[in-house]
Amino acid sequence: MRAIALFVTLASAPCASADEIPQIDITRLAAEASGQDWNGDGHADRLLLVWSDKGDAFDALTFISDAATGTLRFTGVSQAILPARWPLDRSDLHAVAYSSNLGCNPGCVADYTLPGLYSKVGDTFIEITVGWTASGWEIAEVQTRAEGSDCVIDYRAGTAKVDWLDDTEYTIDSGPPPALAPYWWREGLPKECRFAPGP
Amino acid sequence: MSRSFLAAILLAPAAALADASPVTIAADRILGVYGQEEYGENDWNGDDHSDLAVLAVSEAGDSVDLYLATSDPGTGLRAVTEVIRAILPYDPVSVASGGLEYNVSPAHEGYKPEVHISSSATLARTSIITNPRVEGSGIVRIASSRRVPGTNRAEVICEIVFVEYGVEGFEPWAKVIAPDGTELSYNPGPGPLLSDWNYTDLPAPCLP
Repeated sequence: MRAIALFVTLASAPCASADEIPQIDITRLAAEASGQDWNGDGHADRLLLVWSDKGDAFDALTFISDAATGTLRFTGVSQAILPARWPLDRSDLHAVAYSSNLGCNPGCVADYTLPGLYSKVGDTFIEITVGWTASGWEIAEVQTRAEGSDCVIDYRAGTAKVDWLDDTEYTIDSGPPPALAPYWWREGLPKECRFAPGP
Repeated sequence: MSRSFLAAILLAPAAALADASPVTIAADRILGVYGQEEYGENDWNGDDHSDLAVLAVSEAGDSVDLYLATSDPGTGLRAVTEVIRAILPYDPVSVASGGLEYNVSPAHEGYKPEVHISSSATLARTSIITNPRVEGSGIVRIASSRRVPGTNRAEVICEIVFVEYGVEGFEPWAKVIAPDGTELSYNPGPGPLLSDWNYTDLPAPCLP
């Protein structure tokens, strides 16, 4: 593997491939998760959230373990997958959770095989739970929330529920799990769930 | 990175580095990130902007470094203000086999960056709670624990406390238990500057 120098941003390389390990500006690091096995081979994997160059989104860098050796293999950059702002405000929050708890009622068992990517910009919240598949990352669940309205989509179960501020509650067809794509939270979300800041 | 540039990072305050070239690192060396906290817990310089701690494998691959970045009070932008070399040892073989984990997270005491190495298999754990300061970061507390033989629980075998928040006139203390069970208590003196310290300065029972 060779390293490429991306001094300030990842986005200056449109799509860093899996054999090029990006150089990260340390101050652009937002969150990291490790210690969980997301590809089911018994070894821990790793995920980093990094501010994009425009500062309006987070990129995700993923490392998946090699089943035979346990060593981590860089699997690429998923660009602009969550809203962000830079410089961040004190009320903002972003994290990579170790498990999916969306729609998890008391007594349910958290799913540690899926990382949840979490961003709160001002009063707008979005969490994307992703799953690693043979063809890459796909979206398993999404939750968006703003000004008291709430939307939860479980693509694996095929259900979506929207709860508006006026207590109107209805379900929509989620469709199959989509691939994780840049700015999916702006363009791929069902319109009823687009509480996240637009472009 | 040249020695002179690193020296500048270590010595200059955050504001003076705002226009400096960014400190970069290969993504696969990053082990842990303690970034934004919702209630401002990681505002170590008290300017209402969040600061940052990053744990990473050293360039030589045999130890772990801690990068501290603090915010500029005016712009909120962060700059790397300290790089603490060899704060923990690194063992890539044990990491690959799943035997060891590293991270940096908020400590219970004051939400300062706590770096730790742990093994779920052996229950061994060493943690170092740091004390980020503009004048040079220090150490609050070091603790190591090991599995009690024949049980599935751990016991603390080393504890060195340099700072106790809210305790006026606090005297640093240390208690170290040797493998033969001999217990040694002593005053470790004032906390060291992290820039002058690395994990090999630990008493043997405290080493991860």
